[in-house]
Amino acid sequence: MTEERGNSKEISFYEEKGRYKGVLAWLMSTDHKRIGIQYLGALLSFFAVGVSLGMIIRLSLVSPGWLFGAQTYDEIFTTHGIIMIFLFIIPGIPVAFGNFFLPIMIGARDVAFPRLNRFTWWLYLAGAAIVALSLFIHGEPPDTGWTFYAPYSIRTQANIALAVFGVFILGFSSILTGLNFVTTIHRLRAPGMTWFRIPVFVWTLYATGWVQMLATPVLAITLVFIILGRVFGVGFFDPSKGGDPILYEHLFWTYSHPAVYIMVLPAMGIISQIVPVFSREKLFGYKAVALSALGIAIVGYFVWGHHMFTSGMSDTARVIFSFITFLVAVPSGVKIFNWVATMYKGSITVNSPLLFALSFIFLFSIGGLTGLVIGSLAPNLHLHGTYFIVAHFHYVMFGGAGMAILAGLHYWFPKMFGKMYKERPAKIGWLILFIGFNLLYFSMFVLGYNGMPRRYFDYPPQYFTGHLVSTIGSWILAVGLLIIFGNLIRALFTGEKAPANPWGGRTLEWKIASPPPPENFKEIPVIKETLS
Amino acid sequence: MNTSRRINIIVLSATSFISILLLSFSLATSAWADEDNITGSLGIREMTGRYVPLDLTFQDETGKEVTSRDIFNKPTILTLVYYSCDHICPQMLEGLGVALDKLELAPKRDYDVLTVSFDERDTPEIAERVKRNYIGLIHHKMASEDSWRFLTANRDNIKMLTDAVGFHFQRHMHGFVHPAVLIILSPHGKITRYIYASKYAYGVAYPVTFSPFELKTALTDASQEKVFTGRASALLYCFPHEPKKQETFFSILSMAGTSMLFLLAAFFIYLVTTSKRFRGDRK
Repeated sequence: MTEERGNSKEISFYEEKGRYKGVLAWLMSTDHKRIGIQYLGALLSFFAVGVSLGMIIRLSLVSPGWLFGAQTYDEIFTTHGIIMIFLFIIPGIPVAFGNFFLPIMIGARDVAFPRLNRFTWWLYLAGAAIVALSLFIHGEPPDTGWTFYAPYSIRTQANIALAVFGVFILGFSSILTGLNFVTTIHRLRAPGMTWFRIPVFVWTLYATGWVQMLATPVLAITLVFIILGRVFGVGFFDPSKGGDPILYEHLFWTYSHPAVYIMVLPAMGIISQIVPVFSREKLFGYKAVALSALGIAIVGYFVWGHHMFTSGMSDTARVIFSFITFLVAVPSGVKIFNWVATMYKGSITVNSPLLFALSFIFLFSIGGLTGLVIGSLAPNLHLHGTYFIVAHFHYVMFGGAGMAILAGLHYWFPKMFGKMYKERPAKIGWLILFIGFNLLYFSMFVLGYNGMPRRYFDYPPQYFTGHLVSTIGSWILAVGLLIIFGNLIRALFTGEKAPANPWGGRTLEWKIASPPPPENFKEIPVIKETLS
Repeated sequence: MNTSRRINIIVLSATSFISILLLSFSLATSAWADEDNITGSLGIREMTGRYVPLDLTFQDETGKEVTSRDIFNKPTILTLVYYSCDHICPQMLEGLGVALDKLELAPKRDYDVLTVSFDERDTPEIAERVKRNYIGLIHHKMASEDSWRFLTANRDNIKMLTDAVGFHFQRHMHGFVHPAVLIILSPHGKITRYIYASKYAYGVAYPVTFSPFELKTALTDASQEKVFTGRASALLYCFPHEPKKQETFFSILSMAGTSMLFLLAAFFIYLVTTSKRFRGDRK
């Protein structure tokens, strides 16, 4: 490697010659950029599958029974959930953009453990393959919903054990990624890159890394109990054997609520990078934004009970969980105010990354504020298990994390692939997506408020209009996504060559060539000021 | 090379994590080997036609001492619960309150309602607090503070009362196992009828309900000292769902959790304290 460094100025990491050729040159690579690109490809493929399944769910809901029966419906929404949550949005930003940009942003040549990094990618592939296998081998695909609630997940005939095992492996991929990133940020910062000079995206990855390490083992142990219950009849969660299904819910949400922050924190990091660049301003309140990421990560551990207000808990516990849930809104609010304050009196250029970032702020705010509605006890008892919840978490997951992925994709696309996409189709795609998104999910707020329960295959006629609007919205949203990704894919082949710094960004990734050379920096830069 | 040392650390922590997992599983599996069995006398042995002793002493909500002689002078609905119960007792009392509200009879004039705790650790203050939850359910114009009384007693008196009415319960670690039943007494303290809570409706506001019509018949019969026997129906039991050794499982969970926390805390300290030694190590 060392002898090649002399000419690394000319070649990009795509052109680097290693020991392996073809597909193996990618699979065996320990280069954080190649791993990031591979993750990105896998994530977006699963995203496409998840979107298609979602479209089918929506289609079935305008005419229940026309496409398939209730059992198939259960299997499809379960698969939609498992793919979107465990294969797309939880690994999401850290493994794709984090892998690619974390080392570059702190001025390192790679992550701290490159081989471990490659191992997490293999684990991800293995986990994904096992989850896919559970859909196709004999027996039925999982039909429990992505939450695998006991005792149904222990009794159902479907292939739960296999799916759960796949998720278990994905969990280890996640833990090791977190470990790797945290170590990288501690160890490999360039000289002068002090804690309060690192870009906010790196801060959010740091907070996320700790959440991954602390929370994911809880999921692992819980899923193993499910497998033991199915295979050996151990009744941890089965009341007929003396177990406790509520315990499952506690353990599951002890992981799955922090997992929401695994998805959303790095999304906030991306927005914190994009907003200052397109406003030609420094990020307002850098320290507050950075520390609020840690704040969210810490407080996020103590709110899981709000998923279980109707499951049977003491009033004291419910009031406390409700109160802590409100506390999470504080650091989230800090971030939103700081992004808006950054734009204030800025010289704003409205490019597509900024549009996606702004729609993140807007949609995530709706998701967050409705989170307060369902986080308070009394409305929760009414809205629990309705479409209101479905709408809320789609606003947070898709409107939040999903939009941030699209924002990051448009922001970093020139850097990652060395090509420029066309701006006009990106903006048109964004607008159509934005309209479709709100039609699709806002009508779910109305449906849920009126009492439409989630996960149901069929419904009384008074909910038809809401479902119809929602389904039409899903078609518009799909058109938007097709335009956006069509534009990006076309850019891969016919796009103009991207300059090193098309947006005028100040962070380190914009100071190297597009796409970056094999080991990022010819010489490790020395940092003298905050870059974002 | 430092890489191999680091990999060692990772392998070590992974192994310890997995062994903690395995240990927990083997312990937890054995925790479930024996099931929780309820033995001995439990339930209702109907004592219709017999009398409740009139020399029992109770304490009312204000802490004042009252005897059964003072209390029994009208047809009476007697319920036996424990006040810290968060299982069926509150739902039974709520169901009773709703039924009483629909009753055509006037409280205090036509009948009395009496709830006695069989947990000797319950105090008049607790009884008063529990009373606040239910007294408001009855909206009859004759309803007053006294129309539903919540009493406590010492161990001996509890035993005499429950034996007299054939009410058999057991204390468990997290509460009691006991039947859910209304006992109707005549003005002279004769046991005239048992009305069982026999159905539990899931997912509704009042899971345990009583028929106001049945209550009215029972109270009218009791006022005439008429005894009703027969019609055996299924009986609901109130029990704490706390499988034996579940505590063991929780302690295994907390052990695994705590060791995970310590592991990560150690990792953090390691990262912070050795930071300078490693910086710039890699090229």
